[in-house]
Amino acid sequence: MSRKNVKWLYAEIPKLVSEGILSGDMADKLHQYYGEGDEGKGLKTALTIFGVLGTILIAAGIILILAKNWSELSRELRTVIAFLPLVAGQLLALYTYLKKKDSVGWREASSSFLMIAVGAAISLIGQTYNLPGDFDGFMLLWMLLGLPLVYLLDATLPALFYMIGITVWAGSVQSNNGDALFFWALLGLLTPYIYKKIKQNQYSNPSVFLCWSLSAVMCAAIGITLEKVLPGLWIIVYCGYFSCLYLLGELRFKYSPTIWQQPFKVVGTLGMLGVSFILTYEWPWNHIGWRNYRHTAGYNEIAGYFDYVVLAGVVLTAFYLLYAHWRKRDAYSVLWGSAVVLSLVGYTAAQYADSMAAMLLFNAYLLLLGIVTVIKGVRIKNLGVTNAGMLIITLLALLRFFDSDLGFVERGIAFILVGAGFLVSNILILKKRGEGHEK
Amino acid sequence: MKNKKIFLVLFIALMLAQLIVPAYMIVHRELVLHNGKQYKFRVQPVDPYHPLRGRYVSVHLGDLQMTVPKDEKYYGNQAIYALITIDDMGYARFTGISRTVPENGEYIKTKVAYVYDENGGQKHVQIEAPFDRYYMEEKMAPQAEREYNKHVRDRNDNVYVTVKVLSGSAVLERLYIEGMTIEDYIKSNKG
Repeated sequence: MSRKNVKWLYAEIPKLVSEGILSGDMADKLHQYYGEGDEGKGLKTALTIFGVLGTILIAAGIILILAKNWSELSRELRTVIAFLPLVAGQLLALYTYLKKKDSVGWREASSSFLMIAVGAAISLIGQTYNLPGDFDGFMLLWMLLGLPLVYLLDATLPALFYMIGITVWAGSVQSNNGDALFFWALLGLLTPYIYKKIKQNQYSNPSVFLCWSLSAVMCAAIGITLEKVLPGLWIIVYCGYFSCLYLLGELRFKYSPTIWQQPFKVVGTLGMLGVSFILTYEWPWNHIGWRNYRHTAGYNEIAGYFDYVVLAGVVLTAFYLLYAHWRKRDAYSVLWGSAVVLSLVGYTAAQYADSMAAMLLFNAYLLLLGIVTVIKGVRIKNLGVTNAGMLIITLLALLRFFDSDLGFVERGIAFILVGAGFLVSNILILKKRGEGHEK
Repeated sequence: MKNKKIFLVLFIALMLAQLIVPAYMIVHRELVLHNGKQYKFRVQPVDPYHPLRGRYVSVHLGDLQMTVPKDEKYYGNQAIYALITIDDMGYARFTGISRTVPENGEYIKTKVAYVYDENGGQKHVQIEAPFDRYYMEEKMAPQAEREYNKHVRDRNDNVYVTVKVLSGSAVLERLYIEGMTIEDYIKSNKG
């Protein structure tokens, strides 16, 4: 809701309470939910953001200056210098903890500064002693020494740093022929904080930032940690993951006031569409399944078992969420979230019958999604939704006509039909809206 | 109030951990530098397409491939001990590996990079170099690396690094060309 609307609402509340329409309790809850209605809040948020940004820039600047290898300085002096930002960050954090605990700006800024300083100190020492490049070990140590700040100072930015850091760590370990399964335990260390923030207020900035970052980081980490011994498993895992995100977003964040506050739904929708479009080609469905199991030395069979755990996890969660939507008779969400079911069907079909069948299935699915979305848009008189549906159909048409052997005339006719669909659906909505106004 | 005290204790514990970890890194290396035995290792040319360069010279050791008996079990990332031998010219090199701490002789603790079998019934273990870089001032590093590669490629025997070793830990001290530290060498060549 915009600030203007909140102001209006706050002006209305006393009247509503006095006339007995709202209880005082409810009015308090509304106030709590929408926060301070005055402009002061916007200013405060802006000051916090700039304060934090400024601190991070200063920290980065100090570290860059120190990172210059001052060859004229003695080793002892350089070691002392490595500790300077670290100790400064610690004093800043301690001061915040003792005196400024109620200020979001202080908490975020001091904890971010300290987090950066920890990494800087370790890497500066590595530089002074010409230590070999053990990037994985460095990242892990840095993240684990920074993580407690998230809890002790109740700070979100270090949590975001941490999430990105452990993902980078996982990518580096896996690319060095290591095994990054430990990533999930590391992410697990952060979940109590994320859970707490969402419980406090799922629409607040910290929760929203955490949820965006969590959905993106997990998307990357699934790809990194899958051992890929069973070819094509990613199809089910990613369809399952994005289905879960979408369905969870619809179930728990449905009434979020803005798109920005619906991270799960947005990432889920875009991810699911992206994967589904890839699956409308035949190549992802070729050479998959048990018959192509990878036995070669480069693949770790034991780590491969974890793939099945992830698979079972996302598929079961997605099915549970589908059931929850089914019980609410929310057919539209069930359709959008059923990519996981189709991926299972497609995977079986491609393995035992024909990869063509799996490919056709996803073409049909996207076409159906497009049409249903257009119909929904027309029904709720929303141009954005209608055109999103048309966009899905158009993209599908474009992709298919570029890789099929259809002649120019057939392609031409098909494009005219899709174009006409656009126009007709938009005119329908405008007309419907017009009728609504006349009433 | 009690909660606040516990949190404060945890906070101080975290701060100590954040200080102890880098401090330990320093003390450990300082002990090696002060009490360790010095070795000279010859170096090899580096791959000129290294992506993250600029602030250090990549140093490559030769002799990182070891031949081991077929029945000895080695695997990637395994901790091992590389045995040091000194040749007639006074340079150190690795001549063998052990899975346990060697009882006599000097050694450096490192890791197995990868293992591969050859058809002839031999087994080779590639070990990770316990030192692979020499940090320098950012303007000097690229120039130093050019000099390094030039001298190594010309088979100049006078390019080596000095390394201090103590109880399996190694710290690279300096990089030398023509008997001068690389810093001095570049300075004298400029002038």
